Amino acid sequence: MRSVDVDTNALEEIGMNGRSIRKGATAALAAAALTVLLGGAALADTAPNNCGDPSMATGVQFLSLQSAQNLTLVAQADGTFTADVQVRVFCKRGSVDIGDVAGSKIQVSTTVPNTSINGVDASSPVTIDVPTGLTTVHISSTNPGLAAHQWFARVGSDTTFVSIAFDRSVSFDDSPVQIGRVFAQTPELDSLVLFGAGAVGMGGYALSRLRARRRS
Amino acid sequence: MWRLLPWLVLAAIGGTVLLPAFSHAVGVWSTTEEFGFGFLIVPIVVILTWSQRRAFVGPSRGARLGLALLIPSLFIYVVATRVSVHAVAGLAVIPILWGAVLYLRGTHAVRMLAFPIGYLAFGLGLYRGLLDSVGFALQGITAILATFGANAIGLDVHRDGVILTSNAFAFVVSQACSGMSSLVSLLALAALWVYVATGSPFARAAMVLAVFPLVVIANGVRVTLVLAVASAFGVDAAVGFFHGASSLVLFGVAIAGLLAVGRIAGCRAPTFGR
Repeated sequence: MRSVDVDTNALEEIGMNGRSIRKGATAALAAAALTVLLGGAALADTAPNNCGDPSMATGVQFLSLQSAQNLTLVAQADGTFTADVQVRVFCKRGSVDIGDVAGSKIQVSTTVPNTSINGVDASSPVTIDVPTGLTTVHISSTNPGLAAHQWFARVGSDTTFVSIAFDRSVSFDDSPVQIGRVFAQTPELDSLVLFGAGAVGMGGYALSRLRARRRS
Repeated sequence: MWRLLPWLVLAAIGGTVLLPAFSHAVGVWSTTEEFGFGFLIVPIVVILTWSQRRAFVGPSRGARLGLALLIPSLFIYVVATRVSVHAVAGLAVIPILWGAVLYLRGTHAVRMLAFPIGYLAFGLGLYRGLLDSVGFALQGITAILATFGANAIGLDVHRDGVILTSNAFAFVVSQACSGMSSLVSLLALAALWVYVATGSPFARAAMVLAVFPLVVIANGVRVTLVLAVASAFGVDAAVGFFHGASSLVLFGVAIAGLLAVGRIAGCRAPTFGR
């Protein structure tokens, strides 16, 4: 039986980094894909509320997202792009999730211009209380576009990143790495190129068939 | 020249009314790589309409029934534009034009122009929400297929959602990799082909229905090849020239598959004699 210390907070840090490069973007909708690289496991023990035991580790996960699921930042009438994401602070022993950590705080910061988290300017770390170990974080940005590899978050040793931001692919060439890995992508060519090349190819095929028919 | 004046005035008025739909569509085409092909839809529609220009020649047999199509469509267009549901507004342009042609030129003309006008749907009906729904589903399918393909050729690739990892690399199958560009492009090409080709409705439907599985398989193979190259020569080799070339080649293979399905189903190449 372990002791319970209600005064201890779990403090994790989420960092975001970014800059705006596309002025005058006419995008009406912004799509962001947050991929959460956090291991989850079934509850297997009584949940502590402080996770203070040396054999335990604190983790943070985005509950509204499963691994590699999308989060959409939706364009609002006032010109901002917003989304809500549920954050859970939990404790794990080894790889086993042993429950929420009550009385937690998380700290979120970003260098993405004009971004607020829960209504607070996020250019410096924003501290968010998570009294039950579970809370909803509101992300809002007036930034109309994000450059490749500019938006990411780091949660302890876990990494959260965006693969699509405001309808633009995000390359991970120099994004923060997890366990020394760099995430690459395999994007298709632009549909304009595919459609154009396909139309030329199908047109050529049609002409060749037509000529063959005329010859025969 | 004077004969054309009423048509030019009508086109100017119609163009002004419908400008917001086209203006928004241009915004979507220019900011979303998956929908960039929309820029080619309007020129194709113009060419198709020109090929059916006989619809505008001869005495008018306009039918008042056209108003029954035109007025409600116009209403939907105005409301959708006002509430910023742009895809609906864009799609409403099609029945507006059908109704106008029916009212001014009659049923024969609207039959001739039904497809050329309807083809605008591939340009005006696009909206970014498609990427969240269809695009995200395609991401997952592509990741599963690529993992299966990579394991089948002996690569030790693990999948976590849309993240594919091995000792040599870590790839994410993002939206840009989903196959959405291929899907919408090939659907538009298939629609164009079944219009100009000859064949039974069954054969034409078979071609259109074949688009989805062909795109999914081609994209799965493409990502598998990228993983194989990354495994053998490193990530830089896989995401460089090879990735662009493989995208084009696999799209070509999908088109060849589409034409093969058409031939098997009995959809013959166009004769351009219609």
